[in-house]
Amino acid sequence: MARYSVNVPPRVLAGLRRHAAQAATPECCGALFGTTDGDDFDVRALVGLPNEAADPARYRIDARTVQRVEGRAAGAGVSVVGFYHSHPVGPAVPSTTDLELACPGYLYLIVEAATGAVRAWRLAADRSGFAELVVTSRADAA
Amino acid sequence: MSARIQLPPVLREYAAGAAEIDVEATDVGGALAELSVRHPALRRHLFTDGGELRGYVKVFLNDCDVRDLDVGAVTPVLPGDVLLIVPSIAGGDHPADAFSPEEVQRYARHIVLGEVGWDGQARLRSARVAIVGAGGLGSPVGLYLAAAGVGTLGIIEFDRVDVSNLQRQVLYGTADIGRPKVEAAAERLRDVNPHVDIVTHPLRLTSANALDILADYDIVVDGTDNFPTRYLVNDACVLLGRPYVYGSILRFEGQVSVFDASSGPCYRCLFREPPPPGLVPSCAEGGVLGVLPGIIGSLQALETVKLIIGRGDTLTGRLALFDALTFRWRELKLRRNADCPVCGDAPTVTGLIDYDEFCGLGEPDMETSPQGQAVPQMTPEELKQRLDGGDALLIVDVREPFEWGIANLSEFGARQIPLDEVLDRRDEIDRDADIVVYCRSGSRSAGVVRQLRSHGFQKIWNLKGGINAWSRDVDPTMPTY
Repeated sequence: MARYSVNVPPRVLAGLRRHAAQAATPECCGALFGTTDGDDFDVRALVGLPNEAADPARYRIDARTVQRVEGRAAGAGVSVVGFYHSHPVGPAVPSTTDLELACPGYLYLIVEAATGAVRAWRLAADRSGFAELVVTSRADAA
Repeated sequence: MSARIQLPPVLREYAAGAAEIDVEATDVGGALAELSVRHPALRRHLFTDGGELRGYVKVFLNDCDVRDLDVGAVTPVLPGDVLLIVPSIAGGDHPADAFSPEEVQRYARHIVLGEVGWDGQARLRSARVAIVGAGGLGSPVGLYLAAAGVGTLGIIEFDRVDVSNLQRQVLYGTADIGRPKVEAAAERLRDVNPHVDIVTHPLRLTSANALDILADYDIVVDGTDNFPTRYLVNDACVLLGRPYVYGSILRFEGQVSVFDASSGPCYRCLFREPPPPGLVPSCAEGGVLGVLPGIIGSLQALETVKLIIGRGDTLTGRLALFDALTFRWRELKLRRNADCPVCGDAPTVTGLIDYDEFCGLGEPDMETSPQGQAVPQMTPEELKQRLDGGDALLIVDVREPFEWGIANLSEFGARQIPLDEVLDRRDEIDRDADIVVYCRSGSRSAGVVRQLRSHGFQKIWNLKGGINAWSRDVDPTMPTY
């Protein structure tokens, strides 16, 4: 079975790991700007966002924030292709909470805080689970 | 009245690409329901199976947040209103899967393996494995799977610990003799790894309960080593879509395989029907080297772990055979049988059947062969009465010579004619006498009675329950084995 892929340039990957390591709240989160053909993704930038969850073992980006960040992306000529968050303790694999609350279509990057491992996931159309994407890290063309 | 629903880009593919959809509705709940009817693919992304709006879905009515849908659902919608659906993004770390520092230390040698790592250990943690039978094979399976951190282990076992188990069933110690095996096993496995949830099923797996019990598990490991249970477990696993980790041992030989009908053959593709009863002795009758179930059970645990972490090549489609005496391994390639009655293209077995009957182990008084031929039985008490009454009975012992050495009925004139010589030597048996045939438990001797009846012997009985029943019901000083 062919696996789709996502390219996360080294500088973006480094930013992601830095955010996970330095976040004020245990779980950090943010939006991913880039492009997609619907299957493969090309991440160009990340925007760290405040974690609006009350529970320290959760993250939440409110719909209003999603709307605002979508607007900013459109202004920059890209789109919000997905979101990232960190797992301070567990592996970079979607948890059952991640599955319950997942929105289809978006790319989800999860950072394992302990090791810096980054893995990419997308919700299956029938919500039965996540399909993993291959993460590559080529430098930006431009 | 018509209102307009605006969808975010990520949800449009579930609405045939539409960004805006006009619906006829009087309130917000009605509008969303109408949207789900018009685009059924959207429904599961907007609503839970229980019909509640999913946590990530936010609905704005003319830019006002309709916060609580219980109340918001009845918020009226007027013509020209715009309902905007916006996702919020949320989730969290593995609350149940998070590894404590103690667990990280415990599983450190797994986690450093690239093929296992955090991901594999998390998979082990969330896996649910059923072990059918906590005996010679079930012991190493249970110990290694508990040690590996399999989250839930179900143990299905009705028996109690007997001193004759301790030669190979390493889950138990001498102090456990007489205890229910599930109780002693659960205690031992919780000591090995307190993070594992041990679920005990102190019962015999039957056609009536197998689907209910096994449906709760992801993988089924068979540690029972008898034909009715083997076919029962295989058929239940095919029907439930679960992989079946198979192991079998006798004397010095072992077999192991993985039967997974979703990607390969099932046990029935290999053995469509069981052998006639009595042909293949059980371990109790034939004996087994105590180390052998340790080896084969460990391999079953290995295959189970590989199935869980999704790494390596499992034994699906292969049968491994081990001869401990010569130390030779052989491997047979197995193919799915398109005509298989359970997993084939046109299955004839679509539910569980009576596996004792299927395996020719009939009901107690008149054992019935697969052809329907009855076998007359005599209970140990009846035999004792007739002997005490002075009847001249011809008693034939069809066991192997070493079994004779353990216990025999020589004091009543029993003659030894081993199972595989009976037919050739039938002329040595007086056809006019009343003949009673026995073995250890009554299974092999039933086959002999059936054969001799087909060769014209009329007055012939099978000793019901064999010499072990004689010991239990007539002469407790006779050793059982």
